[in-house]
Amino acid sequence: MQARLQQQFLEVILGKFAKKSTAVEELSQILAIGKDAVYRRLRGDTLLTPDEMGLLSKQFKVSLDALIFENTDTVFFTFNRFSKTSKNFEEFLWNFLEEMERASNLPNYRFYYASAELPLFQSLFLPELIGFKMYIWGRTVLDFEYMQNVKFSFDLVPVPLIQLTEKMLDIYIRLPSIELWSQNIIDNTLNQIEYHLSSGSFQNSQDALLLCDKLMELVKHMQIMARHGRKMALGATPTEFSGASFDLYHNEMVHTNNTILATTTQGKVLYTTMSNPNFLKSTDPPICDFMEEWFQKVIVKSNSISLQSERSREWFFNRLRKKVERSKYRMELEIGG
Amino acid sequence: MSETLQSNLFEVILRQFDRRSQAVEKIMELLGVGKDAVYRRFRGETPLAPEELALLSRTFNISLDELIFDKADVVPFVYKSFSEPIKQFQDFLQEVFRYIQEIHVLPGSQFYYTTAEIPVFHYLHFPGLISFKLYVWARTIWNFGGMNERKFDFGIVSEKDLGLTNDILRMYNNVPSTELWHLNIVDNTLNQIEYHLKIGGFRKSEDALSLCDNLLELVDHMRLMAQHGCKFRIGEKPETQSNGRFDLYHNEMVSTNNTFLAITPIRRVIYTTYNTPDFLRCSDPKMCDYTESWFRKIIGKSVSISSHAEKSRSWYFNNLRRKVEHARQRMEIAIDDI
Repeated sequence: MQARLQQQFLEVILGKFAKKSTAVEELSQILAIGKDAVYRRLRGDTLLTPDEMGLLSKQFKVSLDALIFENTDTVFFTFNRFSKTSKNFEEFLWNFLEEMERASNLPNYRFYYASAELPLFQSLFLPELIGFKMYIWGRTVLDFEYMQNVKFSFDLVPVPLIQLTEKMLDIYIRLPSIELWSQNIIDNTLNQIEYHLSSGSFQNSQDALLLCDKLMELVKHMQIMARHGRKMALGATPTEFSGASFDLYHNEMVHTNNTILATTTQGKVLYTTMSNPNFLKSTDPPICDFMEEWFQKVIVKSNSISLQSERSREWFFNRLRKKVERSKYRMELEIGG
Repeated sequence: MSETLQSNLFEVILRQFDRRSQAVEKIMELLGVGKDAVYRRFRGETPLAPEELALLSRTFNISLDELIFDKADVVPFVYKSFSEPIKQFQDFLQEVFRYIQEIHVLPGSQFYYTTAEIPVFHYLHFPGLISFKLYVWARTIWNFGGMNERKFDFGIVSEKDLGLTNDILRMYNNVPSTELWHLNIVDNTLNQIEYHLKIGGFRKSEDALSLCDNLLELVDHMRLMAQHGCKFRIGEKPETQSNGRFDLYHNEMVSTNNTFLAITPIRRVIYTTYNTPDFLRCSDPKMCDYTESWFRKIIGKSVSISSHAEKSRSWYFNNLRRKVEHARQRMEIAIDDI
């Protein structure tokens, strides 16, 4: 038994390397011992101490519970809030941008995106909208101290921050994606605008209406991208040289978390929101493969609304427009009242 | 570090005993060593062998992952669907039963629940509704053989399979909960009913309307529970002593996954849906701390709609009712066209 746990544990670690010699080098470095000492541990002649097991488990993300309880269900996620805490938007956006840049440099990168709300990347098309989103996150989930008693105005988000979001948008436009949206994607944003209007959190109430106009602009742009099956900058003329491919599906049946699965020739990465806009990330092959299958299953039950399917596409985007119009009408009444 | 993992492990073990001497005796017996040897291990002078580490962890049911990853950005989650995929309706209900029982059995337990869908427990009030949900998940997520070709009818899930629903509902009703619901909680189920009606997925199209009627009744019952601030079965008196507190909030602003945080006297566990209705489970202390404080933040931005808040409650539930009624009207027209 004692040999078994140590042996199984080290086998899992060795499995992460193409060559045993590379693994030995790495182990020798991490444990600060010579190669002979590593080999003694691999043979089971020397027992690993709890210290060493903890260190290796953390370093290689190997679950000891999985081996001890013979439970193969453990998935390791990293949580961005624990990796790098952000005290302001600049830090938050830099962390996000770094993640996107790293990903976009991987070969043959493309991603699946399932969302029940307006995908973050779509908000980037309009500085006013991403500014408002940042304001909300700052006051709620990210809980930035300096945001708590500030009213919203469009100049709250300084130009350098908007420039960062533009960089993020550039990357998004360059990466091909298959996206599954539910009919409710716009509801949360509209609720947020109405909530802040009712709670008197706009410096100028008319800005709530302007945000609705911006949302209408965005709906139009999303529809154009869907029609052409290509991503492009707002106002750009669609050509075959526009951005990456954009395959859009209306998922009317399966409730999902906001989930992104990126696939590259070097492996897969899974992101899922946890206290949105924060996210959990995993590169564990079993959960990534599992999610890829899941995406395939949901796509089969979904309705393609990019390129050919004009009728379904018109219906989907007209529904979004109607939602914005209704909310805007309610807000006008509230402002008038 | 060696002291950290080893001493943390002993610290957790010692907490399970009233007296240190009892723990020492138990460990002597388990490891087959003398008292001095146990104390040397307590002091970190003798490192635990991997075998001993595993034995202690298993005997006292202690997660080493939690101790190791406590201060890292890595969070271990358990996803049961890997080793125990849902292969029949009963599998899912048994899993829900097991988890709610773990919470229910410990007096003083409570949970927080935030959701963008009707919490699965509420469907248990109506065999037809829970059967329909199970049918939809079987076709989309679990891929039961033959289910894609099968049309829905109210007998699709046998009474035997539904046997556990009574106990699950009783336990859910007994444990006090603080729940944060979106205004869209009925949308997904309504979409699913309409979708299946459109694709001819009902053996009898009128069953789609019966499901809407069940939903309307459910909305009225949920409103009644919110009004009384406690959970109870349809037709039952709310004042029953065993009924748990029900603090309901309308979360109109913060978009969330369906997340359930159970707080028991001995541990906290997070369940977050992943491929609804399957879920990830996590008892990592720092993730639980984070989630607990996140819940408090969202509650601060939400509107209470239980007990006294009649105006907000009426507005909220009237909205849900209207959504069901509109969808039902659309379905009546669709049935006439068929």
